[in-house]
Amino acid sequence: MEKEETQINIKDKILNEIQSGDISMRPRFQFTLRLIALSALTFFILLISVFILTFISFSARISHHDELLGFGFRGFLAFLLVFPWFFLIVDIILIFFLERCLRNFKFGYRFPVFYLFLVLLSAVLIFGLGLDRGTSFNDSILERREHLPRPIGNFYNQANRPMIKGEGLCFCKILAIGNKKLIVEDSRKGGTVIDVLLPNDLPLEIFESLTIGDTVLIAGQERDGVIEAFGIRNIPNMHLERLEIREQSIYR
Amino acid sequence: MNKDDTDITDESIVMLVQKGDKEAFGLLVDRYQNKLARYGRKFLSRVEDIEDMVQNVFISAYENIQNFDVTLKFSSWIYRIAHNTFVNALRKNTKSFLTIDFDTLLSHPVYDDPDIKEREQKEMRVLIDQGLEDISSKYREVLVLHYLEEISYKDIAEILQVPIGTIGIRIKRAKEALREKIDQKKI
Repeated sequence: MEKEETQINIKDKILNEIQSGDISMRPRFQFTLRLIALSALTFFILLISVFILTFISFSARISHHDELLGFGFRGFLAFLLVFPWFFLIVDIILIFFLERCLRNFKFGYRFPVFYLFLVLLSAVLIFGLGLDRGTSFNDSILERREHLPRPIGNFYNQANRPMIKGEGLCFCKILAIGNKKLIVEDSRKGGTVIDVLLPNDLPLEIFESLTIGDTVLIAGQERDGVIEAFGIRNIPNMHLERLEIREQSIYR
Repeated sequence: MNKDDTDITDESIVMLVQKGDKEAFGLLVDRYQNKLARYGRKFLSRVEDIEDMVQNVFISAYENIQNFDVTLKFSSWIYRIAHNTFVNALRKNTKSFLTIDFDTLLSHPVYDDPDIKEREQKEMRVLIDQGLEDISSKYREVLVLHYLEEISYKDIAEILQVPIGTIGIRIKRAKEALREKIDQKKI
């Protein structure tokens, strides 16, 4: 019964259409071109994803935001506050597209979606972080940014992200050191002098390492222009020039 | 070449077609037209113009035959084209903007045991005849391919382009859904 229901005969119809030229084979090169285009698109998306990730890492490094991770849980929360979430979201969307592209290939659809996404995310993280922390790729782009095409140059101008007033985070220059207190020049608002209350549990060696004229990263609660610090770190390699670039970008 | 020769493999026929033997394509139509019609009828459940759809499958196969890699299985390839054609027909009736198939997210263990399958085959065919129309197309399809067309999990995974574990879990859920629907009918 079932077999009778499904008996059809379309062979002659199809062969007639083939013979008459109504249906024709697409040439092989069309498929080859499509494959090349898809591979190129996949590779391009992968490159952009790695580039954005390496930029995020570079931005955290050059802005010294990653130093916040050394201030315990509160430092971690402060790090999350200044993290460039927009770039990360863009990167995740790109990885999602990358995953969709790879599913057109045999090795892509054989993997469960979630695992493939995790593998891609890990690969982008490893290459992105490795490129920033293991090579001078980003530093050399930053140095040559004026000579690079404008979109890339402008992109790297944003790498050094300023601390925002009121968030309790600043790069400051020490003007005076008191008992449990510093008087500093606030780099966030060219030359403003503010007080910083040091944490009670600040290790003695860190306190003793502070000297007048040092540039320090301060993390804490900011109230009425006074920062109650929970973390302080000397930034010996902080280039004043970079601070100036940042200040210009804030108050321009 | 004697084109009635049943010993010649599908892939060898494809090679002939790729080299320009148009008549040889008729052999492939002979071999698959009824299988695809049965697959389409069961999968689509309420579609009348199955002959036109199967014809479209063969037209698409002929147009794209240069893209077929003869080291792979032709049956999986033609079923893949049929799957796409039937899914497009289903989509005409449903407005789905973006669907996420949660079965494909994680890996699932696979038990494609031929002995168990043989024992189940008869029972499942009876159940499929009784209640296939009442379960979702996603589940209908795997049951039809596995129990009626007798295609292995691995080949179904190639046809649907999903991980093999997804086929295992989908067949398990499809059987549960089918049994549930039949039980409900009895009540």
